[in-house]
Amino acid sequence: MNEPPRQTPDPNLLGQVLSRACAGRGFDLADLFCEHRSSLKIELLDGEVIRIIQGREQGAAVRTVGSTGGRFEYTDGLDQASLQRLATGAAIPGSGGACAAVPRSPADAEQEVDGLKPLLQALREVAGEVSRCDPQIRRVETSCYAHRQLVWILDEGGHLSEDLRSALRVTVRVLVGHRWGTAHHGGDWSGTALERLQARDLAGEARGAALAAGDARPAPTGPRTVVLAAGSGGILLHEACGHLLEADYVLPGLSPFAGRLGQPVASPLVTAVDDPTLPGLPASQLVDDEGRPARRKLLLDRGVVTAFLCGRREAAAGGAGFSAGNARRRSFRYPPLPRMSNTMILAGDTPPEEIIRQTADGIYAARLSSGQADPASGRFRFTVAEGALIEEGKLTCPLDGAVISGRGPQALAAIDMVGNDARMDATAAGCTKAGQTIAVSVGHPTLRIESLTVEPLGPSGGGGP
Amino acid sequence: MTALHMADALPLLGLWRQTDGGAELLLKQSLTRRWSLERGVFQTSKGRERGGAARVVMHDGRSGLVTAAVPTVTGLKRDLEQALLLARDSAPDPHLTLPGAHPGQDALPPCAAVPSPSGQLGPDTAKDLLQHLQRSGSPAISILKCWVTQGAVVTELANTAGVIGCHQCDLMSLGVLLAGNHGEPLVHQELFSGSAMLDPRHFLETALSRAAGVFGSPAQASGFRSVLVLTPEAAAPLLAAIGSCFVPAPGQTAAPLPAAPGVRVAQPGITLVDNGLHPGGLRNAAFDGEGTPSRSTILVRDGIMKSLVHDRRSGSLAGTASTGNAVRDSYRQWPVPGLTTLVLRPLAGLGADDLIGDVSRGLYAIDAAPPDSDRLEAGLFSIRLRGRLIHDGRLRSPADAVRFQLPLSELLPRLSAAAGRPRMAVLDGCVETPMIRMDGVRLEPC
Repeated sequence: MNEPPRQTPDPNLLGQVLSRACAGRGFDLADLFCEHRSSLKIELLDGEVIRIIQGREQGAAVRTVGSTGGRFEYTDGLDQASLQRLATGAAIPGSGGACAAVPRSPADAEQEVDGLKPLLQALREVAGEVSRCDPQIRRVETSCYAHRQLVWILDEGGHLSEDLRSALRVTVRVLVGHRWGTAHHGGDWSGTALERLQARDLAGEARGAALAAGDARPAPTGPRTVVLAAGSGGILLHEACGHLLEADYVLPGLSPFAGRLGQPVASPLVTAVDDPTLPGLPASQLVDDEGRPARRKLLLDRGVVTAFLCGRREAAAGGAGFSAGNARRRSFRYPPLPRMSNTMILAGDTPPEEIIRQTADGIYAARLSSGQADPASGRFRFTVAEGALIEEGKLTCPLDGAVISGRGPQALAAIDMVGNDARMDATAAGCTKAGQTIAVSVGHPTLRIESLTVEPLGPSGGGGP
Repeated sequence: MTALHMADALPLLGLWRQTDGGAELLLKQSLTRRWSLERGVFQTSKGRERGGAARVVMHDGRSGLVTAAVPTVTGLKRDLEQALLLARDSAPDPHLTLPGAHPGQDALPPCAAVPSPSGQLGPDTAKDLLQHLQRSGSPAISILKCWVTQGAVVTELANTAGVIGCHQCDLMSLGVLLAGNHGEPLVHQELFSGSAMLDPRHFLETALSRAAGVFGSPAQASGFRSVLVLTPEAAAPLLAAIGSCFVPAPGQTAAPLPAAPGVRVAQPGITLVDNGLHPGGLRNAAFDGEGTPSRSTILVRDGIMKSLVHDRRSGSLAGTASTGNAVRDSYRQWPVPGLTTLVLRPLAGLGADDLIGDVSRGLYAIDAAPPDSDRLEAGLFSIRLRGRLIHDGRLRSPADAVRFQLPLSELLPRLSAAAGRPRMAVLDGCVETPMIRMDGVRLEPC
């Protein structure tokens, strides 16, 4: 895959736009964010391509932040006229016709087709593997979304940062009888993620999920011990712990972790980090969306809060434990917010099979799907898309979906066993906050939570009147 | 850069007629402004978007879509060529075609040069309005944050079969975040068709009345079978879930509703309509995302199912015509079947008080959290409500964290009455509903 066309914008022009946009306004910080993004979305049904959408966007946003007010303005386009409009419509002196746009050229289309062919081939291979592996499979849906994003960020101090990021997510859904099974593959869109894609494994995973669902029993109701398979329940960590450490919730006192720096909030078995520098993941980056260098941040050290996730604004207001580098935005159309990137709980020393063996009665969550969490109360609910009952220290029958719920701080404190098998899940769906959905990765070893509330998922056990 | 208009791009479609298949161009421009006031900090934001989409559908239904920001004539020409390349990699689809021309729509109607919201607010007016709202709290109810948004979207669509048209949609909304001494804060937001319709006094009365209903020390709720009465704001997510039963899933002929036209699916008097021309609806437009003229489609009349909604492809699969329900909220999206504005009509001769008067035990729901999405996909509607308990026909103590859940297919049959002044809510599309009543449902603490 060839890289998209890269042209560094003229820093002088960007500087003039930012200074004009800030002129006459009191502010504590200001920045200009420029972005060029190309994307591909492909859908296959039973191995046939039914939809291909290719997109290309470019635009810029200017932001000023002050103690009594702020301003945010964006525009499509990186051409001089668009940028000039951001600079409050005033003519930019001395720009000399320089243009910050990423120009389209006839070669662009060919480059995008070059990117399309390997993706199509990989998706067809996956669909073919699925069809070959089981004649009972009635329907195969294969899809992928890939994007590449080139950003330039200029701050009020004249510091210009640049980053190229990418993401790829492949999804396979198979229908066996009346049961669907799903499997995902993800990473960055650099080619390595496609190289790592094992069509047969992915097909087998989706088929296995559908077959397991065929023998499933309704989930029990009430408090149960829950064992999260390595990498599977990262969404719980993300929603029930990570969001509570975001400084825009912490500073106004909206998080249960507000004022808890240096204090224990989780089991001493839990050490958690956020690390945007890990290679090959969809949320990895060199700089954050305010241009600050990305770096690994230790959030919880053996259960004790050591740092919060911050942008520049929160870092300035917060003091110790509040350092910038975690500002992210969905695109130039949105202001940056403190966000997670690749968040994980580090490995412990218990073999995963030992954790199952020591659990007399509980449920095993092999994969959590979407859920809801309220950072203010810490309350969360998640769906166990694939799971099994644990009875007398053994995995018995699969679960026909389940919902687990609880409160984040209590769940973190109730982690009583941590496996030695930490695994990163690069296939997590996006995280949405304040209307902004961005790519995240989550990971952890096998974890045991002493007690969470468990309920059936669907109408069969679901509580009709 | 001056925004591109369809009139400039039309010659591209003329050239395209000489080649294999058909093509479609979509241009969208929008301008949005937002002002907010929170803890004395006044924030402004403004955004301009310009985008174009080139879609190609070959004679055998192979297709491709290319989207780009800041369209130009040269860029669109390249995008059409690129879409054709994509189409050659896709599979034939006999049900996918481009729409034909509509009589009398062979010329573009006049359109604003750039999106211009009607009755524009300026920063000073917006600030005055927000300061007035923020001062209107009381010791029991404080206003933590308030905001006003205003915007306009201009859509132009044309294809090789004929020019479809141009449409401008104006949007305006006002919102507040209220807090009381107990319970979670309450968001109240209303949509207006223009600043001329903005009535801050009535807006505040409604917001404060809802807040007074939910704030206070909540009673301990236990599970019970009862009557559920929902205000329009709390009813909207439930109506949206009901509406989703009338939308075929992509690639399927049937919708989740296990019924056919002519079958009773609701109690007598219940009439449900999807209306793409409904005044003030976010998806109100003269044409849908494929260029089919928008219209009103009766889904349920007097309890009897009448129709599903369709785009061209799902209509073809089902052996019927499009109902003008191809939804394409952004130029970056492929058109898919969806609801525009779902309207539940109040029952004649019934007032809002009549829904509560004969209830011996029940819940009057004022606020609802979003439904649990995974359970919805699994066919179960599950939602957390708060409001007031009803005893002997009167509203009593506040009740918080009450869960109501019912299989999706049972929601509509349980809807027994709709009365009072309808209100509009923005969900996936818009829902306009009066107060509604559900009988014989089970409520649980959560």
